[in-house]
Amino acid sequence: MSLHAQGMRAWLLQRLTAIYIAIYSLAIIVWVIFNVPVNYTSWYALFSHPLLIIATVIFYLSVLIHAWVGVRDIMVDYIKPSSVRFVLLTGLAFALTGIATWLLLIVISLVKV
Amino acid sequence: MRFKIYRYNPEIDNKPYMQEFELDNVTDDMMLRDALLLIKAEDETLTFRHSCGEGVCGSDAVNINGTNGLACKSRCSELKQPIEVRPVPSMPVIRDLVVDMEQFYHHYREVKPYLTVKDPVPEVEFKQTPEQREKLDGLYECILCGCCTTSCPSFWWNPDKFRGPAALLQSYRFLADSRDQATAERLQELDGPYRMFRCHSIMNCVNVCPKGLNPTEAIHSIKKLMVKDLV
Repeated sequence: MSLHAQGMRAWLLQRLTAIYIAIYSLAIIVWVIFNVPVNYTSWYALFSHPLLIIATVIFYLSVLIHAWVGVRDIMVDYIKPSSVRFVLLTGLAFALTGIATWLLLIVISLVKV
Repeated sequence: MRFKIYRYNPEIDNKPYMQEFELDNVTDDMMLRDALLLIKAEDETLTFRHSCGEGVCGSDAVNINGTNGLACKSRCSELKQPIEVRPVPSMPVIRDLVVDMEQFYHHYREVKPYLTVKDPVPEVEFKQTPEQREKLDGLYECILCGCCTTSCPSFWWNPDKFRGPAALLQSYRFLADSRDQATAERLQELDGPYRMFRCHSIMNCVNVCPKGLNPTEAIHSIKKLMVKDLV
């Protein structure tokens, strides 16, 4: 999605990612309640399962997209001068990209081992 | 009964102030509009809009004890004293309780609040089934008083770009009309980050509407139409 925001697409993405985030979070919480991972190895085993890696990657992408739309919405509401808004939006984009890169590195390390 | 009323005459006053009034002759069935008229009889410089006096014309929208409403439909005896009356928020004040509604009407005009028909117009009247007509209930009753739009924080932040609940309700009134043929254009016009999507379902509009209408639901219906249009 570009900095030049679109209304409908952004709104729809926010809704869809919200649904996925809710389902994933609930599923993980329920799973962990019934199969409490007791130590590092069991946590590791849980999160290095290939299906869960895919689900988790989608989850974090959803969080990133959701955050982008949401924080951008707040900025459009409250920050009037376009120059300030542009700088802040760029900062946000860098921050989210940074988090995405970090996430990618973690996934790669999980897949490699 | 005590009143505190917002006063501002730009020709005389440097800045607005609250003026206190006291009325002894307020009866239980008296509406705020009646009380304002009594105050005006005492102090004829007090300026406010009003007309029909029965919640139909939408002229006397004011902010009463912090909440927007029609003066003619607000019973004095049910209001906390002193009754604070201010002009509706966020609009430029012309004098006392009278505000400049141009911005509001601009957005209303922009949603093209009239039927657009592309087919040749029939010789007889347009026909609608009772079911098609029913879809307009809760939409056509709007009296354009502006209570909703001026209580909407999204409108306060972006009054020049966000259409506001009243105009969006009107837009849906025509989108929902079986006789209207400009659905695609109407939806196209409302896309983009500002015109409709500044609405965050705060629902102040629903809270204050003196006709009991639900602009938030209408806006949601427009979004649903857009999704349908997309897929």
